[in-house]
Amino acid sequence: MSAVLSMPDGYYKALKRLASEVAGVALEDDYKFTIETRLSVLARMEGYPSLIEMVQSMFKSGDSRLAIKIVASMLVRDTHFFRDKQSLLGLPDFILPKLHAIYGPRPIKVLIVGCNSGQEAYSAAILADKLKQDELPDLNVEFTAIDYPSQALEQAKAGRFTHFDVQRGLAVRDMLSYFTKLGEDWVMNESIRNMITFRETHLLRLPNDLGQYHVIICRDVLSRFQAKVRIAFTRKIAAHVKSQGYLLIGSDEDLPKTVHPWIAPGGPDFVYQRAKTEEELRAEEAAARAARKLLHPDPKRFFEDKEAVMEVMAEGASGEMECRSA
Amino acid sequence: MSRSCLIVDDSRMVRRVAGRIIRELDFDLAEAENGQEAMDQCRMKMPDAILLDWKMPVMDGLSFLKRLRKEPGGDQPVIVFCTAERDVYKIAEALDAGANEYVMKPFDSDVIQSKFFEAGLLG
Repeated sequence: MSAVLSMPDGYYKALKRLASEVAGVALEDDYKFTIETRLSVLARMEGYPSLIEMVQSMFKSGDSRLAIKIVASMLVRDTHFFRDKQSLLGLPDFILPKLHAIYGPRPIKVLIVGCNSGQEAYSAAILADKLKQDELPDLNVEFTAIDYPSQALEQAKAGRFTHFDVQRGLAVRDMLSYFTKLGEDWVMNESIRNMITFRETHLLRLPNDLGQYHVIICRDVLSRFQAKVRIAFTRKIAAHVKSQGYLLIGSDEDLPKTVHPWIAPGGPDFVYQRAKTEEELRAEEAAARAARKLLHPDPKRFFEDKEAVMEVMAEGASGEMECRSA
Repeated sequence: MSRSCLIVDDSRMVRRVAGRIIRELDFDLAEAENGQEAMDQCRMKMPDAILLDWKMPVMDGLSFLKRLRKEPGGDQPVIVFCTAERDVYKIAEALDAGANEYVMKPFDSDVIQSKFFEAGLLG
């Protein structure tokens, strides 16, 4: 392989350092050939005569837009529909039924981290659609899928796949049900595309306006981060999960064994739930205390005591407010 | 005990390439050049899986499939169509006739493996 590589070792080392600093990912040395191929494609698209000149230009100018594009194209993974299906089935088999029991027809918001060229998000949406058709007709799931800006993300937005893509991991009946043939390509049907919003996002700098979700799907992402980044990221994404929301990781992945707000809810090994914060627990206790007082052994006497009634109502209201603000 | 797969295609090259991939999936292989040859082989010994081309001389893949499904034990083999035909109506026609999965040529080992998995032949 090394005979066909044109990029000097020094450049590769500099790019590895860049990937580590920008995305917290440690690239392996045996990845050189793939990276060089991808960067050559990017160089052509960006109008550079060669990838060497593109890399030189990026380091000389410090062009952060180009730096992120270079890192993103180095990080693109070879993926397919329903990759690691065992773990993905945790969504329709465990998580969505539990959330539907709480929220009914109200929207259940799912964030997909590291959506790559879209197969992960579309697979999850197909599973949610099947669950809705087969068991939960009023299920309402909204997906947001995020990744670095890249050609892969543009493909995800277009929902357009080659005949090779739609044959990897996808049963032929699903291909016919969920795709429309357009020329030589296959385009995801609008009903599924409308369930997903794709968004360019720097994964290590999640913006505050990303919002909060009932579920975060983060598969084959954590395991690629360096250890320190993995711990920080696991904590950071918790801020984007609603109280007792879920985190779904890969079936061969583990969460870092450090203090973090995730607990095992007793389902599959790769499903975690965000533990309640101390603030949430205090608010719940206050609400429970208020409820207990309302169940006074002698309601007649209790309601004669106007002061007690006022106190209980005030406590209940304050508990409710804390719950809301939390 | 490894399972058996009959590759039915009039192209020797396709039989060789597909054969190499399917052998790696731990199947015993047999080959036929057209639907009639395949039918003769199935009447002697029904395979577990059949990788089936559409357009072939003597008897095409769709005619073979329709006849096979009416044979005693002909409902048993898992049929994976493997053809250059990409028209959605043709794909639906193949499924209606009793195909279990469908591969659009050209293919690679990932595609064959994925389709054999979807058809319940692996894992």
